[in-house]
Amino acid sequence: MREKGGGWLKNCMEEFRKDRGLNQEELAVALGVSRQTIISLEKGRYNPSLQLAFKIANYFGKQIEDIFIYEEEEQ
Amino acid sequence: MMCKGNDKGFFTVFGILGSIGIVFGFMMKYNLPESAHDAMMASGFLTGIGTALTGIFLIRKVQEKFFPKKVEKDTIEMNDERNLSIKRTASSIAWLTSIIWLAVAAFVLLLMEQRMGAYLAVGGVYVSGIAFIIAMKVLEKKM
Repeated sequence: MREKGGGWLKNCMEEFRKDRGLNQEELAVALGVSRQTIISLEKGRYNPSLQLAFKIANYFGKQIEDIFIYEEEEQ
Repeated sequence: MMCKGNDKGFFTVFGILGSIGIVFGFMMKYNLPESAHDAMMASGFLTGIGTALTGIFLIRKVQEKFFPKKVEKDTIEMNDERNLSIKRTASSIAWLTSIIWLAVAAFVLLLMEQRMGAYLAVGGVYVSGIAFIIAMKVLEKKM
């Protein structure tokens, strides 16, 4: 999703989820969020809070920056 | 965080407010003279709202007892950060719409020479504006 200050937040949640053999519903239950949130996160339509981003990173045993990548918009 | 947290307490408040509404509604109805039509209507309104709130509370209690899985899912949906964010944005839009509606209503009422109604509508605009400023100041200090 495009941030107001310019730039993009991408994520590799779908790849990590598939690597674990989980479906969206299972991941949603594990993270305590709705399935719709997982769908929106994976499609890049919604940026998670820092709290949820940490939760996701901890769940996959990764660092936040391994999952979420911020790309500055080129001027 | 706003809207987030103990939804059991939230529904209990519904139950308490609903019961109070029903009791006051009936008390008003049986203590008012037959000629007080508007107050009678208000008592019916109060009883209706009270019944609706109590109904929601009772349905929730039944769900908690017989469908705990559904309640758990509902709680996740209710506390889900994306849903909360959507609700907040929708609330802001609804608030702005109400303000515009009240301002238009005040203008129309004034044209219809309904001063009391117009004052109430303008009062609504001011009250929500003041509530907005107070909430903003409180939140600024908290964050």
